[in-house]
Amino acid sequence: MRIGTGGMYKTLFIFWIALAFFAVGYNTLKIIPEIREWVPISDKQKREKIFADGYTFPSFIASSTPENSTTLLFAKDGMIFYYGRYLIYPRRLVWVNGEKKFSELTKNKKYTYIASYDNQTEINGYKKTATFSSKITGKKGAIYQKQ
Amino acid sequence: MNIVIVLLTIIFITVIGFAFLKCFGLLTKNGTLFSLACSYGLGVGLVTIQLFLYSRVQIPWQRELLLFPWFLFLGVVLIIKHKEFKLPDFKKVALSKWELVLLTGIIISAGYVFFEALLRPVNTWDAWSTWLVESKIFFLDGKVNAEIFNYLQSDYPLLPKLLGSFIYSMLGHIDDTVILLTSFAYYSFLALLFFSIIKKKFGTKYALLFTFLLVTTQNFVRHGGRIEAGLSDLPLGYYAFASYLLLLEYRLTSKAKNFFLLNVFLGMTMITKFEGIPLSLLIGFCAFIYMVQMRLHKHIPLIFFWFLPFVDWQLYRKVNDVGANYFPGHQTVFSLQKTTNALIGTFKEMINIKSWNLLWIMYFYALFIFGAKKLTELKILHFVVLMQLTVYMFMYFFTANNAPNSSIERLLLHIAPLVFYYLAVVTYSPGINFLTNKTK
Repeated sequence: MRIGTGGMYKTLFIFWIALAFFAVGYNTLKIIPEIREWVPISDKQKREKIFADGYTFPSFIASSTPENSTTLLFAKDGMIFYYGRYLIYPRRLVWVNGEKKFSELTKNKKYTYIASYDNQTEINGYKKTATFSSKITGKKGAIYQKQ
Repeated sequence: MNIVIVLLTIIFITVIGFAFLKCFGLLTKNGTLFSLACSYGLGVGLVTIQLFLYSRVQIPWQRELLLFPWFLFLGVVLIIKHKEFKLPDFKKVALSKWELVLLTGIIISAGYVFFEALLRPVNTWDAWSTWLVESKIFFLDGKVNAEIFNYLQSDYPLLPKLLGSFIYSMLGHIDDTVILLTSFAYYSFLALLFFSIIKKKFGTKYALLFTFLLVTTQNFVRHGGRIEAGLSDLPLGYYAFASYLLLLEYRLTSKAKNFFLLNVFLGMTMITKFEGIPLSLLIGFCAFIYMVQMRLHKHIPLIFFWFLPFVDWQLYRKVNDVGANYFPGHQTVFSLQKTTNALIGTFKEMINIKSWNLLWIMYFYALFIFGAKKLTELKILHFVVLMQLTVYMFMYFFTANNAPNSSIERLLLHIAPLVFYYLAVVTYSPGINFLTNKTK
């Protein structure tokens, strides 16, 4: 070992050990506020808190469409689609986030159900069957069924 | 109740792995702790292969049908090899005050990770959008449904997904909170693996110190159960580290059975995540060079066990028209700005004390002042670590939709256990005597 470098290495190493003890203390101190924040609330409330409409809107789709159905989802927020896809299986989602593509897909009436999130829209040949209003973000949505 | 079932399942998976080691006389001279630490990862590989096979031959994923063959296997192994089932003799262990302090720190950290894992449902994007979505779908469908890969546009390997399905099958329903205990298990068994190898080399006190440093590193804490747990990065770190240690074992003994186990772990490294492919190839390449140097050509057929899971998965994809989604989504691009961002982003992460303490700073500093210390095992380690880092850099330089700000903290986790090992080896000798005296 070269003189000088070893001393520096040793100093860094002791600092690292100190940091590790600090991490243990810091994590331990965080437990109480985390218990207060998360333990008293239900699983549903936890999901609302973490995912907001990413959880509530897909739950709304699930309650408004039959199992094993495929719904065309018109939403700009990717979280709604990806978490929704995870949450509501065996219901399936097909995602579209642009007006032009959405118009193309609705013209041929391929999908029995359409879910629209944060997009005010009227769809020819479809009837609005349920509406959504988020208590968290205030955003609106709806389910449409092919007529 | 769910917590108990998942913990029992994790123990059961470990017992399966342990019985497999005993059945084939593997790792007989490495100590029970090392064997136990490898057993969890091995057990995960075995149960995921079981689910995949059941799906292929249309056997339902019922709890009884899944457990029966393993109970049969355990019974047979217990009868044949009952003398080899020994737990470590804890009564002999007498710890000094300093060792007790370190052990307490380790237990508190592990307790915190356990607590965090159970506090919230899984909420990291990768965890639910990639891994658990398929765990859930496979469980609900009762099989690996090939059509689902195209629906999800996913072609990631199956190991972490099928582990989730196995846990759900044992639970009988979906619980995406307790499933994070599988990450806690990887965190714990990685720590045990690390502890056992350092203890064997340098003694208990030194092993406790470095294990303490490992388990208190915030990035390990987070991936062990906290909100950032992505379900596959910590497992990849575990498998890569276990593979490296098994490579060292093979180099030490030149025994075919050690090479067999190395190949099994390399195979699992490859099917944990795409990043496991280069990692597995790098470690496997070093094993291959050694095999050629030592003229151990009769071991070559054992490489079959390395590539079997990956090749089988690729064939399955081909037969079932599962499209490639990852690589087409990351097309080749290059720009100076992207390159600069990659270098700066990676550098920033490495000096991020909040995530890594001083791990990466110490690694590069130690590399500068101590080098590989002429030890072949460390040269191999640097080759693997630096080449894997280079792969990540090239990925950032040349592929679209990849940047360090969203992924480097996860990618570094794959090689971080190796870096800990290097630091443990080089720190022992440079004269940190206040830590190392009376260690053995």
